[in-house]
Amino acid sequence: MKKLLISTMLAASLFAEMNDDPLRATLLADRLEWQATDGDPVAWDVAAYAGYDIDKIYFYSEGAVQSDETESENELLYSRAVTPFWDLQGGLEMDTAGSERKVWGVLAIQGLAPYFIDTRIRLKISDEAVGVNFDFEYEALLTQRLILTPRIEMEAYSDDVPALGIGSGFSLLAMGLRLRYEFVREFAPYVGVEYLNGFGDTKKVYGMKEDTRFVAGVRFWF
Amino acid sequence: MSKMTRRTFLQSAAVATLLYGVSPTRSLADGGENDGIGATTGSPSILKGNTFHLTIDRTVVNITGKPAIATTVNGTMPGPTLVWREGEEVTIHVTNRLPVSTSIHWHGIILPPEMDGVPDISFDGIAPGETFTYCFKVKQHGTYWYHSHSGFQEQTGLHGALVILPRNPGDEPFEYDRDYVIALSDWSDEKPESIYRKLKIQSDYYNFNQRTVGDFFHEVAEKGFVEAFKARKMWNEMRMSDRDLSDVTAYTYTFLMNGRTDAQDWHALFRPGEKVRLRFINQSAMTIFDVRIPGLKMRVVAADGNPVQPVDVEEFRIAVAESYDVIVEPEEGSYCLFAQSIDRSGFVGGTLSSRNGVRAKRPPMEKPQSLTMADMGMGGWRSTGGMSHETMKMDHGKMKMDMPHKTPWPVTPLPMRKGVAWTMTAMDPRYRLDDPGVGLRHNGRRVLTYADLRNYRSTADDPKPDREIVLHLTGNMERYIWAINGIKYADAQPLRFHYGERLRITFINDTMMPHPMHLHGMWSDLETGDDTRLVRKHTVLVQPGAKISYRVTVDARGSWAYHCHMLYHMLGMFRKVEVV
Repeated sequence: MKKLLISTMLAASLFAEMNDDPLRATLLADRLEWQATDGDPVAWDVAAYAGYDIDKIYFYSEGAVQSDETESENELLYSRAVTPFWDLQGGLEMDTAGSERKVWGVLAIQGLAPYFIDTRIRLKISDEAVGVNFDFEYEALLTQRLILTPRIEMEAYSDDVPALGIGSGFSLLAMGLRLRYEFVREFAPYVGVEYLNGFGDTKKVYGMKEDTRFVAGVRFWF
Repeated sequence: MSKMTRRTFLQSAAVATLLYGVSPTRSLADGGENDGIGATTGSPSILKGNTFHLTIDRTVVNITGKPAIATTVNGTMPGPTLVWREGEEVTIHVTNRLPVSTSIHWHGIILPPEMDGVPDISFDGIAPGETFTYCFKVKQHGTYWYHSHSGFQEQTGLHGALVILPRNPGDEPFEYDRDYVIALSDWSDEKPESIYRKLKIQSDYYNFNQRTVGDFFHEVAEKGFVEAFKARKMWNEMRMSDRDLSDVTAYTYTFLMNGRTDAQDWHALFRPGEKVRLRFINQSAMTIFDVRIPGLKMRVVAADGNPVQPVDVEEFRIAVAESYDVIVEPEEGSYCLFAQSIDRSGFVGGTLSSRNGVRAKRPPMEKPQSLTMADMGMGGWRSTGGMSHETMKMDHGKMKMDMPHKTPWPVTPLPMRKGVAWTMTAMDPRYRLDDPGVGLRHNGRRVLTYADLRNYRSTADDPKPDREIVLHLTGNMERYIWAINGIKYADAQPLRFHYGERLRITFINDTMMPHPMHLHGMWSDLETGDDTRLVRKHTVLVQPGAKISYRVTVDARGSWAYHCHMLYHMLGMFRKVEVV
């Protein structure tokens, strides 16, 4: 044990610079955009992490603000790489709708599916309902810097969540198509189109409307 | 400043003079000894003798138009070329003026382990402000190099050439009139830590040669949708790119020849009719180069410092840390020494000329080729998928080694870990010694392959292996994790070699990238198809999806490093070897 300790300390001092797995932190604003629809909402989709190859702490935030109304989903999770392409994640999510708040427990898998499809599937659990959210994104390179990104997101709930304006069943479908130009990898403005629709009670009771809107924004990371 | 011996001082002075006036009518380098080591404009200085004083420091350089800080030896990058003589004892005092620990490893040199210069394995490193003295007897001759084994210092400039003269002039089995070191390297203004971080966050950050939608439609037009889709299927399912040729590219790198950019044109002179020896050394951190001299045939006479049966080629691939000595016989005129990176993102050229002040015309850079199924470990390289008739023929004809070996020696099982650090498994890894590798296939030129290499001396009497170990080179390109047998260095137990044994080591490359594997302290006797001419190397390039075997006579006690020489792979793809 003593020997192990000493060798660990030696490794730390001498090989410190050759650490194969340094602590790193990064933030990706995958979407930060203005949307051309009623109320001129500004929407965002941000993911940040700090950690190592295998273990990371993730923060996700997705939402939109228009006039004085804000809707958002915010997650704080521990993420662990479990297979070459997949991370298993668990933690808490806080959703907001105006002044309403709702906290969920979250279990998710995130990774790269065959055919290079960025995938995140999460299970949300609260006292009122269980929800699932599917998020798929693909990057089609038109050129080395001009990139078309189709994206599809679906959501379903076991029960109504009135505070968030969600009805049970298949509640939401969002499909987007964005075309970005990477001036550098870290900075890419884009234009696109987003289609949104609610189903079931989400539409009938809580009034979500079908809508197609143009968007313009910027993707960046550091 | 460090004290210089009178001899080395005089040498430096002579070189300094040459910097300002190189004349082809004068032997470029005879500093009293007629060994013909050439110095030219902008070359690193040349230090000869038995005693050397090297000072490692930070120096401002300007490679790209912006000042940046390099790690230098005696103020230059690359460091001075050291000239030793076989049989003599050399003493090298290395003083560290950096704020961090440093080291120099003498690459390919057979020496006692405590002189090998690998922190954490063979010594404690050289602390800031301290001087470490290396002292050992030189047991070999040929072309070698040295570099830091601390952190990412090698990437920032801490490397230089070693030229070891034979004990007696004429001991080398070839003749030449003039002698130049051609050190190839890759420079970035970005800090290596930043490069590494970016690779961890987005492993294809530097790759601007990715497959586009247009490429796909091009294929559809060529062979129809179904076939085009099928051709992509395997790659897509494996989540791998056939354009993944190089992790770090000319997007951030400026390639250098003897420390000079292509624009600065490293220049060497000859007189028509002379035989010119060119000692190519790849001192890069991450760049594999393909080298040719348009209009000139190159006779390869040594590989990794060791004489081989001469072979005439038009082009060769030089992996990180390898060296090739070639002899050329140029006629009057100017020739381009042309080294393009494996991914064709950039190149560096220099000039070999019979006249001063002439810049040789550069050939156009070639287009990158895509990886094939062979590179994914799914068969022969001559076809793009499956087994063609041609592949079959090759396998049963020339490549006898693909026939079952009926391993007469026991294979020692090693720990393996399938998991996050092991994305792909080569399903049908083959010995592809006559495969020049991606980018050089079917290019119409005579390209050197390992199958062409035969030791100058006979190895018929070399002992047969006592046992074999198999090492899988594994990785996860998506997460940028590299490992051996799925276990990265930080989690690995040392490999145990037994003193006195003859070991056969087989590599299977389960990644889509080539890995130049380097064993310290002992030679790697490469099997190239002829057991009587095993090729003695210190660094062996393992092609993607391929396997390759070499033998090691375990004749050096102590602890040694064993690793991939791609700097950003080395951190995980590394083993400590204990000879017990």
